[in-house]
Amino acid sequence: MVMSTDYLEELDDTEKDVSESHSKLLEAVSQLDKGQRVKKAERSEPTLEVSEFHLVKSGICDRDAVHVHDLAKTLGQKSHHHEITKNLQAIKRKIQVLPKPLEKPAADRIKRIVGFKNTKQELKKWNAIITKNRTAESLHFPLKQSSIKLDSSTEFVKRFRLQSDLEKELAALEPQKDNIEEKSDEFSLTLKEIIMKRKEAARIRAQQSYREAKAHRQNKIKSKKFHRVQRKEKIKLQLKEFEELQKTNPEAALEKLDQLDKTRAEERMTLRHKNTGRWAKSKQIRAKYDKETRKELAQQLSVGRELTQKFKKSNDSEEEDVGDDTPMQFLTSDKENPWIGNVKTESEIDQFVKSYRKYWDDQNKKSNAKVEIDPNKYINIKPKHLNTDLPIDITGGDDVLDDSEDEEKRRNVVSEAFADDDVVEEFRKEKEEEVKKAQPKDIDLTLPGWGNWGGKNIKVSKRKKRRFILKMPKDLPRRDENKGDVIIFEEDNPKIKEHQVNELPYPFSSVKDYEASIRMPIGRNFVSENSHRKLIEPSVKTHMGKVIEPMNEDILVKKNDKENRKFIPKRINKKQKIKRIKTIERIKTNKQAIK
Amino acid sequence: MKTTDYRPRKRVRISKKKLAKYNKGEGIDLKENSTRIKNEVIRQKLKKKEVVFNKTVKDTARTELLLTGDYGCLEADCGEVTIQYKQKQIVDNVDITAAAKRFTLNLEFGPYYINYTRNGRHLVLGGRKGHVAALDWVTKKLACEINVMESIHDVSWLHIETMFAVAQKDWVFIYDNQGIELHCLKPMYKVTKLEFLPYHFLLASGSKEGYLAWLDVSIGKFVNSFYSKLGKIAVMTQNPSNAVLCVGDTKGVVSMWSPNSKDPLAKMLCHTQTVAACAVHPYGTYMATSCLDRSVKIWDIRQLAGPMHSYYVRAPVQHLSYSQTGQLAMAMGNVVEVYRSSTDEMKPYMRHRADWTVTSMQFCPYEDILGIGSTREVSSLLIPGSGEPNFDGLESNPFQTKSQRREAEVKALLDKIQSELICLDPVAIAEVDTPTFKNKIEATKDILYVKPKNIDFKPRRTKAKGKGGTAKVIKTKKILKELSRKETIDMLRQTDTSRSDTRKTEPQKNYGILNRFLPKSNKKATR
Repeated sequence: MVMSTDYLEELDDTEKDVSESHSKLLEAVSQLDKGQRVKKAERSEPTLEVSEFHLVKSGICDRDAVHVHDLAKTLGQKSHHHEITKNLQAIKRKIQVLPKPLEKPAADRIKRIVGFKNTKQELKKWNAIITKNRTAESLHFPLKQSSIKLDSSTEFVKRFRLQSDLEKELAALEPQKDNIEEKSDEFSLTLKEIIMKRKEAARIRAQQSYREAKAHRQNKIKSKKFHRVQRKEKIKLQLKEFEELQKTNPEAALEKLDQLDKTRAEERMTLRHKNTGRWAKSKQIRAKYDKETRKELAQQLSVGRELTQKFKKSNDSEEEDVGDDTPMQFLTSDKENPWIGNVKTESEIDQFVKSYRKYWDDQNKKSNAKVEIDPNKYINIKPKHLNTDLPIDITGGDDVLDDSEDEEKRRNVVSEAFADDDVVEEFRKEKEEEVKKAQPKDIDLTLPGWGNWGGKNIKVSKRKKRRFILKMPKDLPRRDENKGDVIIFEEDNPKIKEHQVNELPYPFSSVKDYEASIRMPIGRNFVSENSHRKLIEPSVKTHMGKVIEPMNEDILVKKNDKENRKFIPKRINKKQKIKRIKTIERIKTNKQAIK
Repeated sequence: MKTTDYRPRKRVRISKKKLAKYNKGEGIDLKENSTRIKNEVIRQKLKKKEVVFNKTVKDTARTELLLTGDYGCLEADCGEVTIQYKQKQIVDNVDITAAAKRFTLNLEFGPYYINYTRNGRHLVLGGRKGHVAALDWVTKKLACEINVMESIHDVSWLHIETMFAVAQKDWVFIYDNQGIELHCLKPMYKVTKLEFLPYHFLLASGSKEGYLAWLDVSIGKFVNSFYSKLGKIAVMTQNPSNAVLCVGDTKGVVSMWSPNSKDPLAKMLCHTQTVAACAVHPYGTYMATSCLDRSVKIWDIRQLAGPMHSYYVRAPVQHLSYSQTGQLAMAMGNVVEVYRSSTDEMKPYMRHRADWTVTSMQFCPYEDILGIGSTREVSSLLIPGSGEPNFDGLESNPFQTKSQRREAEVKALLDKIQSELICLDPVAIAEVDTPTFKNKIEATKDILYVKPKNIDFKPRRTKAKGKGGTAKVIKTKKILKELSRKETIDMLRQTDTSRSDTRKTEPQKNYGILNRFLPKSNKKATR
């Protein structure tokens, strides 16, 4: 140090002018060195005036700068000089250096976050109308239509009244009130708007600067303990918030819970707080001998455990306690002998059996009532005799009896002759054959002589049977299974299949739902005219020649007149609220159970 | 006393029964806990749709208010029964317009076949000996009358009253209402029965040689033709609810045919002998069949089960016809009897003895009239309460004008149902083809990186609807059947043993295969 001061003095003496350029040179040289690439941040302000209070261009080191206290040194010990120095010192104490502005990416990020949040908030106002339009059964474009309120005829006629000359003159004289009113209205509105806008802008700016400052401050802090405490505090705060949300806004609470779960999952995924990092390993070497380091490592592990632990609900534990209560009581009743604690007295057993018997009988009764088979239905009904009139045998004269009639008679005779032939048996045989035919047959894939001896009278081995005979399911249910003497030929009708739907359209994923959606006939032959029109109403209607303009914010303005108000929001009463919260809690518990 | 004049505008309450009638069943599952529709917006939309559906059901139920007409019936005085009232007595006691609807045409050209149009206004009659006449039977205005100079086997109106089909000796001909021959359908050869399926515009025919054929009359194309292997088709009707043809054969089997498959869709063994007549209820609920062994049976044709009722009459029933209100007419020789179905059985309602053997019979839609064609006459009988009192003008209008008819024809053509859709279950078209769908989903499982959709294949309609269709119930049914059979067998055995002792004394001759021609009492003994 001494050497350098000497050297400086020498310089002062000889080449003071060169110092500036020299320092620049030094800097350039230092830049060649790759040690420090990022320049130190500098404040610079372009200015025309030159004075000692203004900032100076780069190239001058702090060393060369002339400070105020240097100047004050030169002042003498006179009273007024002393005062000046005092003032200067006071100023120096008061002076607070502006914090260094955040780096540009960080500042931009914050700006973007705030901007995004605000835009999101702004766009939310469209949600209601969009959902309304999306769920509407049919939309009439243009959306905003002038109300089609018909004037009464008297009012309508009023518009066409001829003005008398006097009226015309009066109208000309009368000042145009309406316009003035409108103008004043507009003005007040715009002013309000301006103020609102300004306030909004100011708010955003304030928010931004506040966040910047905070981030800056917290970044500076190096204490690990501080961060740990802060983190814990944060978690506590979050929990508190969560609990509060649970009461007020259960849906948001659920989201929050998800988020918390996510952090837990992330923690579980990573190796943080598991003492696997470089730092931990280096510490572990020393841990054998050092109590402090051991403590630190243990703490790390405990943090990890804490984070990976599941959230337990206080309610659950309470319930469990309640559940445990009853057997405990039972045990306490015969404390002397815990082994026969469960043994019941005879009367108790009797009672139990009785009640069980009663229950069993009731159940059986119910099931019997359900089945309710009328045996008469299934036994072939006995034919009744109807007391009909006997026809007179009229041949209708000889001319009617031609060969065809003859033939019919012959047929009748034949059919009577074969009356006792077993038609029933024949029909049943046919049905059996049909059933057999409809059953899919086993597919035999065995190759004779492959892997075995071939030839006559050689049985196929069991192993082959098992492996190469594809077995089809037996006894598929048939429609005519229990119908007696009925054969239903269950061939797939390929012609109707062409017309049937064999894929479900988009929103449906169950056949039942889709079939339910097309259950209602829409033709006017089947339903009333009004319903028919309602059912075939197109989802979007446009009017020819009318311009469809995009929506603007006017649509958001709530109309004041009561006639237009149709939707009255439901008030959620207390019961519903409780119900909602309960459902959310149930969902939560389910989630935990899954995990 | 202070009274408030204000009353909220209330609509008439609808009974639960009516609502249930029009209700189309369970809706889409939109409950928060169980719904499979995740998108909130779509769920909201579907909720709104459900509301519209519910309103539709209510509105449709409410439109019943407009059905002011109600069908009446004959009520007998004390000590009398309705069956004893003669047509003349009825005609004497009804108003003049109704009395004018009872008429008899004495005609000479052999047994007559009749057919009413769908709105019940027009009648076409064809005599076996070639006489064809079309008329507005209410005003008795004759549209045309010709003799085709060939034998006639059946007649049928097409979709409008300006065209009718006649099954003649060899081919089916189509005439217009002036009697001008429009078409000769040579592919329909030796036709014995004709049926017109109005919603599909199909003219179906059954031939003497056992062929069934369907002709699309709107485009003049033959849809299909099958050999039924049933012999001569003498009994054929359509099931109006699903447009399936019910054909009765000589073995007592009624088979159901659609133009889409060369095998029948279903077969029912109804009798042990030839099916003589077959009629289906206009709502497609019941089917009545009769047999030469004098039995008449009523079947549940939706479930293909039954018989619901079984009766023996004193003479074989040759013709059956169902009215719109569910009355069943039977023709035995020259006797016509009408039965009303009450809760558990059929009650005799009207009886008429015609002069000649009845050869054709049909209830007239929207009128209390039963038309009869017999060997020498065509007549109409008054059957009070047989016709539907309320008609739907858009569906079939008895008071249709010319322009309305034209409009209705165009509309009907636009609403024409394709013949491919004819099957046993008419609502199958509203269902998802799950087997194909399942295969498609299975196919996606094999593709890498494609997540197969999670789909619930459970259909909306289960096969055992309403009543518990569990396996347990079916088992108990089987057991019950078995028990009843055993009981009857035991009873028979006991009676047999008692009888056999007495009969063993008589020696019997055995004729081998010719035993079947012996009188029945002898036959049993020889066996």
